[in-house]
Amino acid sequence: MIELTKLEEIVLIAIWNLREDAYGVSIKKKVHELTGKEYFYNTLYTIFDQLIRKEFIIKGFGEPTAVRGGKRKVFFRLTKKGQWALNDAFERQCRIWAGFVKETFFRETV
Amino acid sequence: MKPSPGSKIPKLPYWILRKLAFHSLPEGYSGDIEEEYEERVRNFGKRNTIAWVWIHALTALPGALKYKFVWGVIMMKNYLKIALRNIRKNKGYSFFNITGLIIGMGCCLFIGLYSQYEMSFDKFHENSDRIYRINLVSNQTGGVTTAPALAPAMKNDFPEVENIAQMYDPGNSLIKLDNNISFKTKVIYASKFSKFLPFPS
Repeated sequence: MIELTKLEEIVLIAIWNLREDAYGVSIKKKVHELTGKEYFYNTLYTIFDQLIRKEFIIKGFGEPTAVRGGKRKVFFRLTKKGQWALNDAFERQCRIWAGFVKETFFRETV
Repeated sequence: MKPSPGSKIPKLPYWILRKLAFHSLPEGYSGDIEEEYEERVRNFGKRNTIAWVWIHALTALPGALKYKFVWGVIMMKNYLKIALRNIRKNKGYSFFNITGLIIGMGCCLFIGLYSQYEMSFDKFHENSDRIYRINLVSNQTGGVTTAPALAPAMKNDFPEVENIAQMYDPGNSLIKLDNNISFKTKVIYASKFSKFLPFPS
């Protein structure tokens, strides 16, 4: 079984959602869209580093553009291992949350 | 990789941020920040955005320090290991090398201590750096006396000698002072000392 932290999981899902267009800014926007939180690039890039080290994603370089001050975009793509990790996480979440019913009122259990 | 001329990001936080990027993708990181900068200026105003860049620069600091420290310790351990292995491999060579180093350092320390001790006497005098004492150490009796004529002769012959004083320790002796003759024990005779040895009162 492959363990993922919460933020790693979210970033992986964002990359999966974006497919071909996953780079820093778009991932940050996607994560904001998914969680409602604004993360700093510092945090995100350390997560990218971890994911690359765990071989869940690979990096690739785009063309340099004037908008980015002449710097190349760094694209990320899911690897097979990353896809499996996501599948695993999804299955686990399903198992954990199976049979859960949202209660409108809190009922005290003994 | 310098920031492009059109870039409006303040230089100092941008420089810090690029220096402290401790992950493996500093190019993508700074490019992303440049890309989002304009948009944030439009949405949140310039001041807010500059604060945002500053926060990026400052929050990267602890991570960068930790990164540097951790790698420094790891490299240090590596160096120590290599040194130990070299010592083990060339045993004779390192034995002589290290013994030589130990003897040299020990001698240096002892010479330093000795000279510090020797220089530490009578520092409270005003001209202590210009006062010298002449001893003649005799190995047979252990006495430290020189001839009484030495001091005047030195004053006479050497222009460097400004002034002289003599001291003699006869022990028990008869003293004559204004026709009063008395026997004293523990006598020390000294001449002209107060001229250049003003003892602080």
